[in-house]
Parts: sequence; structure tokens; C-alpha cells
Amino acid sequence: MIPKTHQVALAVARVTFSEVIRDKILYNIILLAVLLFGVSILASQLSFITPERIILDFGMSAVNLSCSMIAIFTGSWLIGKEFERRTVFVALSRPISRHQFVLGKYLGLMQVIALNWVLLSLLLSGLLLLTGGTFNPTLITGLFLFLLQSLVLGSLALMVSSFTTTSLSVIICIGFYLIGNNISQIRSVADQSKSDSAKAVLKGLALILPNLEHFTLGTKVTYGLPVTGAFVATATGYAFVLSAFCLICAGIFLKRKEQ
Amino acid sequence: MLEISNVVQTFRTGFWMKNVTVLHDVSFTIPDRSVFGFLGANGAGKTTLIALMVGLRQPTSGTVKLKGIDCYDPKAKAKVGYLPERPYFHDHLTGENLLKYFGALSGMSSRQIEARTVQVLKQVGMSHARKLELKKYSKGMLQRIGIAQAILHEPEFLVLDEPMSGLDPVGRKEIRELITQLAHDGHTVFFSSHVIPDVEAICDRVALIQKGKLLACGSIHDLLAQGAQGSGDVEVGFQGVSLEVAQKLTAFKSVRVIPEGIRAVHAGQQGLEATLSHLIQNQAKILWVQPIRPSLEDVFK
Repeated sequence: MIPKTHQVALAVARVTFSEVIRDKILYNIILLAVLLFGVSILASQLSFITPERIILDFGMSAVNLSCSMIAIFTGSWLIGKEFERRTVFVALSRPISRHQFVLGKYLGLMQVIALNWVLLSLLLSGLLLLTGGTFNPTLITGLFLFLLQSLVLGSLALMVSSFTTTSLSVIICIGFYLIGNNISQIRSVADQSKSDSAKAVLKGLALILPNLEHFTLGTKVTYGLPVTGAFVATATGYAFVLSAFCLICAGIFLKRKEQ
Repeated sequence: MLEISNVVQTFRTGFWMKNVTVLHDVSFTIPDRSVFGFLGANGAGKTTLIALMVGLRQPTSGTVKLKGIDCYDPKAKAKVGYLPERPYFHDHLTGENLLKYFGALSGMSSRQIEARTVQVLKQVGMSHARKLELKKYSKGMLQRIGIAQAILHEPEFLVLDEPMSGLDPVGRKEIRELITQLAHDGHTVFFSSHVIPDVEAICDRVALIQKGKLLACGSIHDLLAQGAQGSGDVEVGFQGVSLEVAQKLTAFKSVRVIPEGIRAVHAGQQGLEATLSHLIQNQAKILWVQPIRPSLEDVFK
């Protein structure tokens, strides 16, 4: 009997999800996000600006940071732990491919990220309702883009951890997160550079590195400015292509990591 | 069943990525429905060869084929059940959930998994622990659930890597009985060990590997026959005679006192009758006379 891809992916995802939700790192990150919400309430009381805006800014940052950190930290140990505990070998001795296994791990991670995202989004909505804030489509779009960004970061973490150690993977992915959110800055430096070679290198980097600015609306959320459907569609497509590329690479790198 | 032909496995290690050969031109065949023992010291290359047999990696050169299919091929993997050395499983899962996981990875439907779970848990004597998390399992229980996952999808070929390591004598005996039962049920069983008596007790055929090279391979009977050449010593137990008297008998290779009397090893069978008569004449009571059976240890010495 040769299992179908969805059968393998769902089985691995189920085990991954049940493993991750027992992890202490996850709860520490969520606790940190909740604390950030607490700080936002405190800051809103002390501010001259409208309190709901403070809560919105802090809350969005909490959702963004929490989902991204879960994606990076958890995504980085998922494969490494399988090798460290040697649990991967019995699984790979079954008639499954490395790509099916990686896909399962990713689906499990997706579930955890999505669960965290839903909980924190509900908490933010609750706080906004309590402080008299308003819902607008931009807020919902902003939250959705944060989810996409976390899913991209998760696939990136899986890919990097499939050829390096967990700690190095975390460092590299945090680097990608910071640079990826400042791609326009790299382009700006390239434009200002007088050296042609430096300009070419910087522009090349801006092109190659994952551009996470596709998933950030910035002040548009604060002021409730409209976001076009094309922008969201581009971001979704970009997230899908980038994640698929990372997962395919992770499957290839996994072969080299065996034993 | 399984054919290993001229397998060479090298790894790149160290800062300079130097090539290290772990398996040197290994070739042997595992017949259908046999219990095949694979002996070797720690680091001899047993686990590396097993990784090739269960399709975890491909050899640098040579072939490993199960019924003519390359072991790396999913079609071959579907016919294999694998128990790793010291079973490494997700310890937050219950025994039942572990079987569900591996059943799904083997392409079984939910209904098939459910039906087989009941059967295999009963077979390995673990029905009582199906709802218990693996972190609460003892070493013996982990070995049993490991065997359960290996046989869940009814594979034709079972690969058990050190299935008795770390077990107490009772646990070893139980696993030995289980392997014998699996062979009786029609599985071809391959298991590695560095404990010769374990292999000798249940295997039909055996292979010995040392530093990545195959030293011997054949049926236990043939290998023991080789070891028996030039031996044929007989152990004699008796009482009622002093140690001094026994030591004067030159036919004995060794003599030692035991609580029941004296235990001596008679060199060969020639002159045994005369020695026994001499003992009886000296008022000895013969407790036992037993030929010393050669062991695999003698063969591989």
C-alpha cells in the first residue's frame, strides 16, 4: 500500500500539532503577546491620543510579533527535533517521500500559527470593542497579511533548519524577518549609492531576499485607509509561491541530512 | 527475499570532508521465511546496512533489492516493517495514536488501522496500554509497541535493529518468543544484535560483520558444524570423590568444585568410558554427562 500525499500530510500534521501545543516556547510567546496587550491598555490610559489607536497599534504589533516568532522558533526545531530524537527514521522507512513529510510538518505548524492568530485577533477585537474602537476592512486585511507573513516565515524556517542547526536557523530567520521588512530601505540605499557595483549588489539582494513588506500595511491600518484587492491578491500569490519554493527546497535538503 | 550485492557505503566526515568507507563490498542474500541474525560489534556497520535495507538511504555503490525492487523505492518500503535500535517515537502519543500515525504513513485506511490495532496490540501483549502515553512506557513496553508498529501493515519483511538491547532476561525471552511467533506466522525476520546467544537461540541463518566487512554468512547449522571440528569435549558432573582424586585424572581438561560436587571437562570423547568407570570404582556418583555443544562464539572466535 502506497499512501496518498494528503493522507501522509494530514497524519504528520496531526502529530506535529499535538507535539507543538505541548511546547513551552509557544506559551511563552503567547504570554508575551498578551502582556503587550496589557501594556497597550496601560499606555492608552496615559496617552493624550485616542486610546483605541494605541490599542490598535500595540495589538497589531503583538499579533505580528507573536505569529512571526512562533513561525520562526517552532518552525526551526520541528525538523531538527525529529532528527535529534531520531523519530524521523521510522517515519521515513514507510513508503513516503521527504516532500510529503515536510508538507505534513508545515501543515501542523500552520495549524498552530492559525490558532494563535485567531486567539490574538479575537483578543484585539474584544479590546477594540471595549474601548470604543471601530472595525474596518483594512484592519481585517492587515491581520490576514500578518497570517500570510507568518506562514511564509514558517516555511522559511523549515527550509533553513533542514540544512542547519536549530539555533542557527532561528538566527538566520530572524535576519530574514528584519531584512525582509526593510527591502524598500535596501532599494533606497542602492539608489543613493554612487558605486555601480554596490548598487547592483544591493538591488540584486532586494530582488532575491523574501520581501515581507508585501504583508505590512503600516499606517493604513491605523487610519483605516483602503487596500486594493490587487494588493491582497499579489501578497497571497507571493506567499504561496515563496512557501512552495521553501518547502520544495526543504524536501531536497532533508535527503542530505539523513543519518 | 532480500539481495544485497557488492554494497559499498562511504560517508564524508571531518573538516576536510574526508571519505570514510563504512561498508566494504558487502554481499549476501536473505531467504524467504527465514529468521536471519546479523551479528557485529558496536560500530561494525550494522545500523548503516539496515538503513540501506529499509530505504533510508541509497548505497554509494552496489544494490539492495527486496524481491527485485530497489529498497529505496516506495513499493519495496511498503513490504518492510522496521523497528529501530532503542525505539524512538513521539512520547506524547498514546500507543493507539502511534499505531494510527504509522498506519496512515503505510497507506492503510482508518478502518484497516482500527482492525489491525486491536490484533497487533493483542499479539504483542499491549492491549492494556493502548490509551497510555509512550512516555509512561517501560523499556520492554516500548520494544513491544515498536514491534507492533513494525507489523501493523502486515509487511513481508521485518527488520529489527537490536530488538533486545537494554532488556532484562525476562524481557529478552519474551521478545525472542515474539520473533519466533512472527516467523511462524510467515514473516521473514532480519534482526541485528551483538549478543550471540540471542541470535543462536532463534535464527536459521546468520551473518557476521566486522569493521564493515562481511566475515561469515550461512545457516546456523553449517556454521556450528564448522565450529564443532576438533572439539567434542564432554562435561561430567559427579560427587563422592575428592578434588585431588579428580585432578589426578589426566583426561580432564579442567576440574572445579561446585555445590553439588565436582564439574569437569573431559577432553574429547575418546577414553570417556574408562574415565567414568574409574570414577564409579572410586565410589563416585555420576550426576550428568553432557557433550559440550559448540556455540557461534566458538565459530567467530
